[in-house]
This record gives sequence, structure tokens and C-alpha cells, in this order.
Amino acid sequence: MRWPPQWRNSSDLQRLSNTQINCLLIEDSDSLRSVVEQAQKNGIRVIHGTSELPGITVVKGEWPGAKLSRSGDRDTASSGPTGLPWVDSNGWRVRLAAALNPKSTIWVDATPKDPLPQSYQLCVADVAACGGRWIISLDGQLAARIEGGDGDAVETWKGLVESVEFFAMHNHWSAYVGSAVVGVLSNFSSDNEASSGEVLNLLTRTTEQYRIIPKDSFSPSSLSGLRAVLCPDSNPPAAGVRKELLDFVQDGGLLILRSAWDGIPGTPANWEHPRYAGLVLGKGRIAIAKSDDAADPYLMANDTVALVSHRFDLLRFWDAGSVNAYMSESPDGKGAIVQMVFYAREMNGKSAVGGPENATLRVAGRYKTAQLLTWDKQPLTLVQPEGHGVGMLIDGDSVELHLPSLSHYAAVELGV
Amino acid sequence: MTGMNQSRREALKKIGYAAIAVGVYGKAPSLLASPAPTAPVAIGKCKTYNPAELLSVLGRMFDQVGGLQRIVNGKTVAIKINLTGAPTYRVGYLPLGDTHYTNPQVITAAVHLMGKAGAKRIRILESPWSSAYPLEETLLQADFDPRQIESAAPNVEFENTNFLGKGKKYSRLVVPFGGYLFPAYELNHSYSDCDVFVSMTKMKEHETTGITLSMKNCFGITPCSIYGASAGIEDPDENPKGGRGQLLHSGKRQPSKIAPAELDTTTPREGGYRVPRAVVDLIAARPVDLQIVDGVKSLSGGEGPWAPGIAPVQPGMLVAGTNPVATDAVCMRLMGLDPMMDRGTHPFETSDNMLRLAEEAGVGTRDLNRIEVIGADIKNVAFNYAAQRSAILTRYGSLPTRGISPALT
Repeated sequence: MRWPPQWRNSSDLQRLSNTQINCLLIEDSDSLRSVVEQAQKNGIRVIHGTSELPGITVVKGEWPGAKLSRSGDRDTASSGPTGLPWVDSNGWRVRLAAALNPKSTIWVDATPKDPLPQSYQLCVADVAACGGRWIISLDGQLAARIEGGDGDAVETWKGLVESVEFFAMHNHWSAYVGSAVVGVLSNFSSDNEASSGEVLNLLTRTTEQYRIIPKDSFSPSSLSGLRAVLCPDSNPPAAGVRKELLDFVQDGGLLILRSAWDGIPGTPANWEHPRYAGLVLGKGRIAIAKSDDAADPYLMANDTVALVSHRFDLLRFWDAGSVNAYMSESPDGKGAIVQMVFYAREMNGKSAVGGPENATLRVAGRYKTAQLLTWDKQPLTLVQPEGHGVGMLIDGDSVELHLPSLSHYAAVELGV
Repeated sequence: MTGMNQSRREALKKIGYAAIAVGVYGKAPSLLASPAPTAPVAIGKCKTYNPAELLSVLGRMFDQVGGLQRIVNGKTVAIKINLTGAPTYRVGYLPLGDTHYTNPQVITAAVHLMGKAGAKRIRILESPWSSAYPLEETLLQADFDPRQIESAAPNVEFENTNFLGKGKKYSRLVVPFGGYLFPAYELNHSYSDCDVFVSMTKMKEHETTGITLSMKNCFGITPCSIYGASAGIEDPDENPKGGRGQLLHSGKRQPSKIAPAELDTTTPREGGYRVPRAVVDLIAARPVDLQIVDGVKSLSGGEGPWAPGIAPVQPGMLVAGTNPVATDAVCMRLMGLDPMMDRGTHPFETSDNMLRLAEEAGVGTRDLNRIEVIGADIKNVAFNYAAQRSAILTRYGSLPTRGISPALT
């Protein structure tokens, strides 16, 4: 937690009692010497900066949420180019940092930007759902109001602490393996850094489940279980990686290329796509962008979803508003978890900050049990509903979950 | 094409020339020397989407309106289905096909029967919300299985008509009577590259136009690449986003310049005036040879989940006909509405009656006394949509304002 400069007394540390907060970032330690000393006595680690922390990779993040209306109505979300609200999120940054630094714990440094009270819990979930930790940072006004004992501010603080506690209680989820339909293969650096990152950001917005595959750490197992691989870089991968990818296509996979490689094998496919030419190779296909128009990250992300087809969706939502969702499977293969972060809901054709009132989630897989977990309510076992209420419908190779009113975060634990 | 429709087209052509001659754009032409055409309308009781029941009821109804073979044998059939709004919106937790989308089982059954009746090729068409991706993808997002539809008959294809699609160029379809809003429309090639055009829709009310049936379904044949929010001023946007609200509803802008401009930009800029007229223009420009209206399960109070005060309903019926005005007139009566009503009266409180406009343009009659109704008796099948809402009001005290009926919870 970034210690608020407004909290000048060592007694302020009592707010951390019985919480999961175990490290303080105190940048101005000279003026907060008593706090530093007391924290250390309490067994709390104190750091003075975020550079070169062993075992930790710190990512500069954005304050998450749906973009707010220019009209000044802070509860109303405005639309991006897709017609849906534009969402700032750090989840993809956490996942990318973890893929590039597999032995690191990922911290996200995102400071409040005109925050709504519920934004703090959203920020915790936005990062933690992907296995990262947010460096808790309070807006100066909120810190001062908490210090002054303001009831609403104290409630905001309690909610924040509870959401951190929730993820600490479920830290066993970190051992789960991410489910994926598509792999995104890039070096995620130099000329490709901005565009490949934005592809991840926008692919997340589609709720397509994907795996990040850094070129440097590619191995044949990188492709296991995938239906498609997207290569958003303009330069081709090394010969060994290229061979593995072509073998993947031979076996029935789909390879989506931003640009053609020299001497790529295959015969022209009988398909029509405004931005991609197709080749057939073995049991699979290769889609090659016809021009740089297809390199627009929004198009690349959405074209990828359509090229793969919604037929293979692992997750499909109705009435969920602006949601990012992450599915992972338990190491023993007997269960899965779907974590959902809600940035805005839809009401009468308008978007508003908050979670959905009656979302439906379809999950591909033969699951028999489902339990809904939120940070503010008791776990709810979803069973066959009476009529059209909340519950779970089992439908062959998928289950349909009818969810109750939710706030910014929920998770569903599924069992086979 | 049926002989009946050919003669109707000829008649429309003549009316169109007359309309142009006297310059009656934007007004009811009232040019018909003879009464507007009529055609039989079949009503079938159908309580479920069970395929066997659907095949039986639809098969009988097609026979009652003159036989499906007569209409589709050896022909390329284009079926405009109704997938209004994004496929990610439901009414409560109900499947989209049970409320505001044409039910996939109805599509499958009709396709199967058309295949058996000798259709050479069947093309499923729709312009899905804010999308230029294959129509099959929208169907999958709605939880429909396009493969089921595809395998119901030989040579079934899908096309998203929200943009240029698989065509090399847009097709210009001229409004024979001159047009209320536009003299012609630029459409996806699929609406001209067919011998038979079918409107397969849902029996619903509509926030803007009072009702949405086989006629209003055709509003969605306009590509948003040209008539949508993101359409270019000069050229179409082949990756269209958003809907037709700014253009065809409120008239705040004109279509891309490859399309003919509006006839008279001084006419009212409001949906209740414009949408019914656009609908009549479109069904005159692209005559609807067969109408299939899904009223097995539907929605009362609006066309989709976004409309306030909606309630899911189960009217338990299907309707079919070969004249869209006559078919919609019968549907209105079945819904407890009067097709002769004018603006200011339910359900046309804030809209012109598109059936009246169509009748005056010579497309078809709305006069129930002139329409032969075959099959189930209207009195026995009628399902009063407004009464259903009143029942909810009585039971729950109020209609919800956020679009979801308490009857769902």
C-alpha cells in the first residue's frame, strides 16, 4: 500500500490490523519516521520506491473503469468507437507482465483519477482477477476523510480491505491454469509493443479466452489446446517457431498473420473476407491480412474472434454490460473458475457504472456444479431454477448460469 | 416469382409513375383507381417450438395460402429474419428466440419445408446490429446453431446484409410509386439476387411504430454501411457501427452519397413520421412474396429488451400470407389491435400507421373485410397484448421502467 502522506501518526497503522496489507510504500520516510518505525515493529515491510524489488515486477497501470460521460454525469459511461463504453483495464497488463516475467509477482501502480467510492474495489478486482496485486493508493481527499472519521469514507476503506481479503482467501486460484482458445504470439517489445499490447487489451474486451505467448519463451507446449494463434507482429518468428506453427496448422489449427511470410505453404481457401486471404494447409487454415488496414488493433482483435468463430466460445455473456472475464482450470482438471470484472452495466440503452442486474453466462464444458462467489455476500450454489430465476441450466456440453444482481466483481467455481 | 406478385409489381410501377407525375412525395398518394390488392392469410395455432408441431402447422398454412411449391420451386429464396438489437441482450434470462428474435426452430422448419418444396437455394439474411461479420457469428452469439438451419435443406446460405457483403456492388432498388422518403435505396445484393423474398419475423409491438410485423422487419434490409450512424458522407463504411437512428429515424443526416438523397428534407424529422414511410418505401421497392410471423412466444410492450414495460408473452400462433399489408392487418387483429386506427390512437399514439401508408401506396389492403382468413378462427386465437400488460400491472402494481417485467423474476 502506498501510505497516504495525510496519515502522519503511527496510530494510523491500526487501520491495517487484521488486514492482508503487509507492505507499505512510503516515499517520504523522513517526515513519517514514526510511522516507518512502528510499521517495522508491527512486522510490516516498508519500501521507499518500486524500482528493483527482487521477485516483483511493477507495471504502470491506469485507473480502471468505463470512461465517464463528457456531460459531467459521473455515473454514466460514454461510448468508444465500438458503440460500447470504452474501458480502461489493467488485467491484460498483469497477464503480459506475468508471461514475460514468469517468476515474478506482478504489482500494478495505478493512482486514483477522479475516483468514485466503488472504484477502489474495482481496482483491486481488475488486477487481482489476473493474479496481480494493486499497490493500494488512496486519493488525497479520501485519505483525509478517513483520517477525519467520515462514515462514508470509512465504509469505502472497509470495502477495499474486504476485497483484498477476498482475493487473499482465494490465492489457491493462482495455481489454476488459464483456459484459452487463441494464442497471441509476439515479442511484445520494440516496434510491436504498443500494437500487440492494444490487441491484448481489446481481445480481453471480447471475452475471448487467450494465452500470451512471448516469442522468446515459445515451446511446442505453448500451443497445446489452442484452436488458433494470432501473430500481430509485422516480422515473422524464427524458423523453429515457424515450423511449430505450420505443424499446428497441419493438425487443424488456424494461424492468423498480420503479414505473409516468405514461401508460406498452402493452397488458396474458398472463403471471402474483406481483410484476410485464406490458405488451406493440411487440416487447418492460415489467414493472412491483405493490407495494413487489418493491423488496426480493434479490427485485429475482433477479426480474430470471428475467424475462430463464436462456435468455440468458452464464455458467452448476455446482459453483462462491460465485462472482462477470465477462465482457468484447476490443476486436477476437476473444476474451473470464471472470474468476472464488471465495469459498466446497461440500463435502458445507456451504460452506467456498476455490475449487471441479471446477466447470463454460458460456459462451455460438462460441469455439474456451480457456486457464485462475491466479496459482499455468502457463496450461492446455483441449481436448476424454478421458472426463469437465478440458477444453472445444464445443456449437454455447456452450462448456462443465470446470475443475480452483482457489483463490480464475481467468480463462479465450477465442478465436473 | 408468382404471377400474383408480378401483376402487383406491374400495378405498383404504374402507380409509381403516376405519383412522380403529380409530385406527391411525403404524402399519401391516394392514387389508386382500384382497391389495394389483397391475399389470403393463414393462421395456425402452435403452442410450442417443437419441430414436429412447427412442421405440421407451417406445412398446413403454406398449403392454405396457395402452396409453397408454387412460390419457391426452382427459385432462389431470400429470407429476412428478425434479429433486432445486439445478440448479447436478453429479456431476463429468456432465450432470444422466445422473446424478440425470430425463433431458430421456426427458421429451421420453414427452410426444411422450402427445401422439400423444391427451392433451388435458400439464403438467410439479416443486418445484425453494429456488425460486418458473418451472420452465422451473430446467430451463435444469440445461442442459435446455424448448422441446424443449414442442414435443414440443400443449398442454404447466410449473408450479413448490413454492408456490401459478398456482392461486388450495392443494388439500387427503386420505389415504384416514387417513395415517401427516398426514391430508391442502395441495398446488399442479396435483395435483388433472389426470385422470392420472404419476411420471417416476430409478432411484436414497437416503441416507435406501434407494431413490428412482416412489414417493419424490412426496415432492417437497409445496410448501416450507408444508412447507419457510421456511414461515410461520401462512401459507405464497410465496417459499420451503431444503428439507423440518426438517419432513418430522426433524419439528422443523409445517407452516403452513393445512395439517392432524401426527396424532401423539410418533412418532419421524427421517427413516428419517418420510419413507417421508410418501411413502405422498402416493401414497395423489394416486394415481399411470403410473410411468416412467429407468434408462438413473443414480447409485449416493445420490440426488444431496451423498451420500458415489456413482458414476455405466449400467444401460441403462427401467421402466413402473401401480401404483407394483409398479413400484418390480420396480425394486428390477432394482437387485439385495429389496423384501421390512425395516429393518436393505440398503438399509433406517436406514429403514422404504416399499414395505411402502404395501402395508400397500393401495396396491399388493411381492410379485414377484404382479407380472406384461413385456418384458425381469429376469435379463438386472438391474444390481446395490451391486456397482458394490464394483467401484469394489476398483479404487480406497476410496470417496471428498466425493461424487465416482474413476471420474469
